Amino acid sequence: MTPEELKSLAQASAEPARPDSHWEAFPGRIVTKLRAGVRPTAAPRHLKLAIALAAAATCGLMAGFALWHSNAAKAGTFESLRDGQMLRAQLTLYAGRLEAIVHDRSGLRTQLAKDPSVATADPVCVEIRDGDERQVVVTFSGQTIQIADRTVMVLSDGGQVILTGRDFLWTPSSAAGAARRLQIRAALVPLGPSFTPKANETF
Amino acid sequence: MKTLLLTLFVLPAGLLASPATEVRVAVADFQSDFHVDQQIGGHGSGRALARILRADLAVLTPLTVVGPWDLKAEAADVVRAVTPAEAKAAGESLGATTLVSGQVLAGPAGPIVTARVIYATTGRTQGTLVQSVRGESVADLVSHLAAQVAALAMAQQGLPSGSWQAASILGTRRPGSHSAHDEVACVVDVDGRIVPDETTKWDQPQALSPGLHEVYVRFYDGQRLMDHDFIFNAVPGAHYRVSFERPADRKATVWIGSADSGEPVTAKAEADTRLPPSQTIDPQNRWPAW
Repeated sequence: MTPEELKSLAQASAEPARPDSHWEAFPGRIVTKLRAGVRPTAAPRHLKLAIALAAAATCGLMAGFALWHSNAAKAGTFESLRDGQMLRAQLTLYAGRLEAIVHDRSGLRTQLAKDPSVATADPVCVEIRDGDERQVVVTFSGQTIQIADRTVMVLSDGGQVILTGRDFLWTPSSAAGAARRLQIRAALVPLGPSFTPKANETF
Repeated sequence: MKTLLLTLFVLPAGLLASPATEVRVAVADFQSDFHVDQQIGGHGSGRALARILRADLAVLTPLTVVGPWDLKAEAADVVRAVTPAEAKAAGESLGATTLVSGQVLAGPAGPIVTARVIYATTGRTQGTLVQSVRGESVADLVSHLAAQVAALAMAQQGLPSGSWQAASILGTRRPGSHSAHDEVACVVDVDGRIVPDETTKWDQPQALSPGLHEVYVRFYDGQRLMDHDFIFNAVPGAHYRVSFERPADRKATVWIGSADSGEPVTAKAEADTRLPPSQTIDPQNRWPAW
């Protein structure tokens, strides 16, 4: 292979695809490599102690920030999904087919019906905490969702949200059956008076 | 010619454009389980409750009860979403604008009842719930549920919300024809709620939430107590009165009628000498048999 051929091949070749986790960890790896390249110089004993204390304090602050930021992000999922913006966007894309928007530890996804057969009225946002598991679902009154291996019907009367299933009942003021061991909150999702889905309109 | 054209085209179009004012409701038997049957003290509480709900809905203007919606239909299952096409098909086959299904659960103070209300035209599905509070009768609980279901059904059709006032019932007193003592026909209890000192408080109106009630009445002539219990459907805002006849040397006949017109709303029945109902029937055990 001549140098010209090698140059041409290098220019034509695409950059290998990388998973998202690669780019998320990328800044951290650069910082680690840069630190590894620094040769520590001899420092007085009291300076070493001060650096160690400062490092410990920094680690503590970072851990605290990470925990606080992590919780804020999860709590924000409920708030961001209940404002209706994402629902409006998804309803525009999948009018009459959107059953639910689900956010759990595997990420954000939409549940769609095969045909436009979903009554998309009275949207509701539900957050369920079962131990360490947390799930936020945006769906419509009359749809079913899975909570702790149970099929549960989501109902709304335009003000209050009710979750009901076999040996399962939750309202903002009471819980019965299997709902008693879960932490649940729910709210209506405003779609705005001017918003109308394209197909299978049910308002 | 213009009149003919108006009749042929404009008038039907106008009728189609106007909102449907008829609310025809089909109710499926409610689902219940062993726990709630045990709490209430009867079997098939979901079915009994749905029967009471149908009766209660029937007195709420402008509702009409049709059906019933067969619980065996998959769409009636309260933990299965109903598609607009399924709702429309069920509504058309039953002649219903609204489909209702639900379930009964055992709550801390008594039964909790959830109802799912589906507008058959669009499949729009909403729900409502009533929760028993201590001392409340099942009849009152279902009456409240009926009002909530009716409000949702009317709102789904774009109708203004209804208001259904409680009815009332009181007794009758006449100077005794066969003894020196006055003769009194009065209410002893409503759905297990005892009226204390009933023969002297015969003229105190007892509230009846709209719908089906069991009313235990008593005839008293100063010597004998004769009782009879009636089940009847109270119309919102109506005034009822316990009336009696006492032919010579015969048992008293009692009935419930309109306090305004005097027309009976129940059969006339011979009163029997009985113990007070609180000693004979556990109120919790009455309603599942209805």
